[in-house]
Amino acid sequence: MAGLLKIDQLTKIFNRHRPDETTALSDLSLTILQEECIALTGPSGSGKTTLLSLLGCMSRPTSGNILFQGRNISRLPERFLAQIRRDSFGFIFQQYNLLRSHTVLENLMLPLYPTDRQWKEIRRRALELLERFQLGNMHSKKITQLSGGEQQRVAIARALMADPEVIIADEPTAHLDEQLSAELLDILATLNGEGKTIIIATHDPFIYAADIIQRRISLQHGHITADTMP
Amino acid sequence: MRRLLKILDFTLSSLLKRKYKNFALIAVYAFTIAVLGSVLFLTQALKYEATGSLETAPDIVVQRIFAGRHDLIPVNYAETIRRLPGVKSVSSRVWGYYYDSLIKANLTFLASGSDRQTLDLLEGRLPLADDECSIGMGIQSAFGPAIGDSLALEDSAGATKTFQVVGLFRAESNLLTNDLVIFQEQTLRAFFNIDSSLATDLIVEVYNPRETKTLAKKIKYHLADTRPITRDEILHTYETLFNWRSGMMLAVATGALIAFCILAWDKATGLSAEEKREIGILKALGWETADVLTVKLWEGLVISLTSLLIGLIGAWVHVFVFGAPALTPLLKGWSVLYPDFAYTALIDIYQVFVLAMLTVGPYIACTLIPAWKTAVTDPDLVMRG
Repeated sequence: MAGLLKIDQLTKIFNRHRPDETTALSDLSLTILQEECIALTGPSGSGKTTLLSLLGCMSRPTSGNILFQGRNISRLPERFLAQIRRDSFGFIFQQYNLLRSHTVLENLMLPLYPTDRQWKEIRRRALELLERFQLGNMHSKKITQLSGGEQQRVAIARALMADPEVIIADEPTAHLDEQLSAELLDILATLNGEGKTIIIATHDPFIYAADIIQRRISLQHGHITADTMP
Repeated sequence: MRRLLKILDFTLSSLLKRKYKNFALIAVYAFTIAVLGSVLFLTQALKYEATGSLETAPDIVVQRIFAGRHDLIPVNYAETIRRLPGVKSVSSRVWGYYYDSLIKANLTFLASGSDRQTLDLLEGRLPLADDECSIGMGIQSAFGPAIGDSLALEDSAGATKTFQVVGLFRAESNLLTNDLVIFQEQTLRAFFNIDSSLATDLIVEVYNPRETKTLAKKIKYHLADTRPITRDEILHTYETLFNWRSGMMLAVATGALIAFCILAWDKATGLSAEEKREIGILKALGWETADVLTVKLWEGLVISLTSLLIGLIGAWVHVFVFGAPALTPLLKGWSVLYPDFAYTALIDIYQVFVLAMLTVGPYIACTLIPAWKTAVTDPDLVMRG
């Protein structure tokens, strides 16, 4: 498998030069291969979410480089970062981060609004994904009318709208029971089987001990403490 | 273009999701614009009425000043003025004020023939006999007499005189004729006890309007105890008066303006947690800062332009359909008998532009600045709060 994401001496410091300065990641280096399914583990505050946001171009490193498909993306202008976020990464957030006042269909279509794709095409893609996740009859419902598991599936479907190469999931089972967590794992396994690279930050043993996890990276105080292949 | 249309669709959809909040915002915003717009429209309409009415006013009105006050002027001053080169005609005018304790209003009495501009505004006819008069709409409303009825007034000696109403002004400009009563000159002289050698003022017509100012100076030079007032000066006085009144009214409307500013400030001081979260999500999903600002710009434009339109229509209906009942006493009332007439519906585009700039501009800025501050922050930080 080819190297998809390469991280070189990555450091992220929040509130720099202020009394509450915090080093979230320190001098971290890592290579993520294409089609890998990785679990990032570690206690709260270990830097898992920060690493995910840096990998997904949602924030910039204080120092160090991130290479995506061989291209250094850590210093790209905001416009290009937005484009990479939209086209190459699909995010599944812990809180789902759906727009509560909008319908399921509208939430799904959101990532492709600022593109030149045709309205019909975006709608068709969204409806296909809703069908795939057994949400076809819920497209006109508001997010607030859905259960936690349904919201999670909408969030996954939205992450797949632009057919990204990488799926990034931050504590995806934090609000799910065991049955829904198992369903989620099945979905992630299917996506990985379709060639998607999957990076999951979790401290849920149900996830990081699951069969689909090919590599487990442990973080503590912003450093990698273990990188194992179970 | 396709991208812009989709963003616009998202904007409209988002606005409709928060319809109650946005309708409330538009209501407050439109009310503020309606108040300010009413003041501007009414001022403009009054200026138009006043200046329109004065188009046929005499070139120069000559008053006598005695001890710093307007006093009766000797009729023979007309001879001195008539001899000045450039003077076309000079005539005397007899008029005065009458306070009626019953309706607690000041009326204006004018001798027939003293002011030719009012002749065109008559329904019925001018008085031809000693016991006849013609009246303005305000007098009719206050006292109730129609043509053919009687009007009882108390003369300067305290005796009650009865006059038959033979004419009624349905003036294009009630501004001048609303509280007016016209009598024959001899009747009015007897009523006010004005000697035939005196008049209230003299009116002067000139051949060349460009010489009016010079002639006014010459009159002042030859007749030192007079005050010649040119038509331009009267127009200027009207302008100043209405500008002052509208300024006062705008000061009164400051309450509404302050409420609006508080609203705008509330928006400017920051977005709600939900709005910030929404921007963070959009950014995380691959929206660019420019896309987020486009949404906010459209939102601001939709709300502010809708409010502007509703506010302007409200102001227009208030002023030109209902006659500005909320503002009339403040802007129009130099007389106790407020002229009750429909204003000519005129809208000064420049004023609308200024109003739009004063209301839409700040609102858009208040919408965009906090959105921009949030949008340029890393989405990760925004969503973490």
